[in-house]
Amino acid sequence: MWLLTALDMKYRAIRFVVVTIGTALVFTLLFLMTGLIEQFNQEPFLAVRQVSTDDWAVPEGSSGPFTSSQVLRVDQVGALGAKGSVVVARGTTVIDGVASEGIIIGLGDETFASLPLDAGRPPAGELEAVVDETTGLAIGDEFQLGGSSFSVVGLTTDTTLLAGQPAVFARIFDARSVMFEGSPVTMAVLVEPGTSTDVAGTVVLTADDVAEDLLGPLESAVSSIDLIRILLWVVAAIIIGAVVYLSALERQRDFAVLLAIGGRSRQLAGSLAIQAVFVALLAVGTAAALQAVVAPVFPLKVRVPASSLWQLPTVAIVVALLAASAAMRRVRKTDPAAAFGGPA
Amino acid sequence: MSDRLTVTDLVVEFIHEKYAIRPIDGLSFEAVPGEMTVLLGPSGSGKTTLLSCLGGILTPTSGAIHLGDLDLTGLDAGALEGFRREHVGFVFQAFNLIPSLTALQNVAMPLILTGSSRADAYDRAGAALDRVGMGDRKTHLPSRLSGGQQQRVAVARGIVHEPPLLLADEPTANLDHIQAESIIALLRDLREQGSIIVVSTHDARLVPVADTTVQMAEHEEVSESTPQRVQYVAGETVFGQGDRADLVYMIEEGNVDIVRINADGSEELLTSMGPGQYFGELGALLGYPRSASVRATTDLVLTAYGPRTFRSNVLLD
Repeated sequence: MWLLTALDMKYRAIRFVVVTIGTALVFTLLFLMTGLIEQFNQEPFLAVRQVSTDDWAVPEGSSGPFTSSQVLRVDQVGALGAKGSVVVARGTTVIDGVASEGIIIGLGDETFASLPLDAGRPPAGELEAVVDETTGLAIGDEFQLGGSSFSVVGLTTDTTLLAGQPAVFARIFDARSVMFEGSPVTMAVLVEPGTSTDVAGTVVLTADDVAEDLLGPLESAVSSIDLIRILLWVVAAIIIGAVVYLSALERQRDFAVLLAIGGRSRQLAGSLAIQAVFVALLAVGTAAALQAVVAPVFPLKVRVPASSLWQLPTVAIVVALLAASAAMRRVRKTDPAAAFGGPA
Repeated sequence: MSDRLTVTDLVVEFIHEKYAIRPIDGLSFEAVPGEMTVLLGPSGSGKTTLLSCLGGILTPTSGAIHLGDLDLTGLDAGALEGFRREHVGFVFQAFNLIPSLTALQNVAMPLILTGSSRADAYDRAGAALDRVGMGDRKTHLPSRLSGGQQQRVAVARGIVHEPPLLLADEPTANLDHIQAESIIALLRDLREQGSIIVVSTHDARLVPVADTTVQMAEHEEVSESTPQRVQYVAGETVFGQGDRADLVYMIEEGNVDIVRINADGSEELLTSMGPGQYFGELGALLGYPRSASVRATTDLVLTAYGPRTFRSNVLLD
């Protein structure tokens, strides 16, 4: 039966190649969508943990320092005995005349000391900033923020938030000065992990709570991508199912002949199943290679999880078998008497 | 190889839509190893149905088929599958070679499907191809073979496992007369291996080369006596569905119902007729069995014509 399956695929090679490429493109999109969701899910945890793994004290009622505009009062900040204050604002950076959105994070010097840098140093003077590498800036470059010109002194990675918006880290004084006209606002205060606050009007969030909160604004985007992923699986199933069913229709007379000369219907149905699984696995393999090429040039960072390299083929096999089931059913119902008669 | 094929009172009945048709009705014959039996009949006479029964593909409604001591009609689906694998070779009208396989692979397929090793299957397939004169075309795909060559390969596929029964369904129907002649000669030569060869055809030219001929549609001369006046009383049946059609009837007086008898015994009124109308002409002209029953609904006077007389005296008059 392997011989029959292999030779039939060779005979219909052009069709199988076209279908494999089509399915591979669909699977490539699936890899990328999976990688996007993985990135969206990991992004806030990576970024927040880089800023600080301490707990974050925020105003009571605030969803989190990155998603709420609520600020702590000065007396609350003092009472919390903070390790460091954090100021957060969304801002527009202008780089070489091109404006783009970014997340401005003002930190104290002690917090900067623990911020992992890819290159450079923490800000030491006025209007110096550390930026995420996705801004495209290099150390020594200048950019505009809130009417002031900042110079880049350090670079970070994996410090994007809210689906790829790069973080711009500045000293807290500069951040307040540029984004809040010098007002002493504080969105959060970093406290020792496990600290329970008894300061009225404040609550303490863990770093993971803060990151979790950042997933909220992306919920609908993630749901949409999930829906697209389901649709892509359906498209892949339709492509594989259609080609296998078409093959079964075309080979109806062949199957009748094979049954008449001693073949078993389960052997023939198995042959179709093998073809479907083969197409699916070949397409997954091609897609795995394609995504490695496409992912780096994708506008958003794509983090394809290693687990998807075995999950996707597994699901692909199941989908291929489901898709081929109609064709297999047809073969199992083939009447060997159909071999008689004139040309089909 | 010395087992004879015996068909006894074979009946095959299909339910088509709601009514029953019997392409084979009480057929009996014997076929002997080493001989070629030709099943002769027009389209629709049940030749292919009979081949399906002989090949263990179709179970007849009643009657018996024996190959030696083996009673086919007593076998279940699984046993019939085994019977086909071991005892039957098929040659089809449309050759039916698998297009993706070479001649050698096509011929080897019955052996591979039944578990032979590929090497053994190819050896035997090569020998079968040599036997049918296709030894030099082993690596050719069917698309690169002529119709006659494809049919030779199909014959090799039919005999590769040396079955006691070789069934050929209209093996020359898609061939020109030169290719047809070579296939017939090949089938005749194959008798030497001691198989029973059963060939279905609508071509009466094959009859002289057959050792035995089975007429699948008895053709009886229809009487063309002078038109006769016949009478029926109300409720009487003029003819029944499935009866032999020999006459055409013109209604002189009275009325009839034309009814179809369904498989479940129920009746379906097709139409009613009265004076000046006629019925039964197509069956009589074509030689088909009656496709419906006709019953007098009143006392009835008819004129009965032979079909040719009816055509010349009534239709063309």
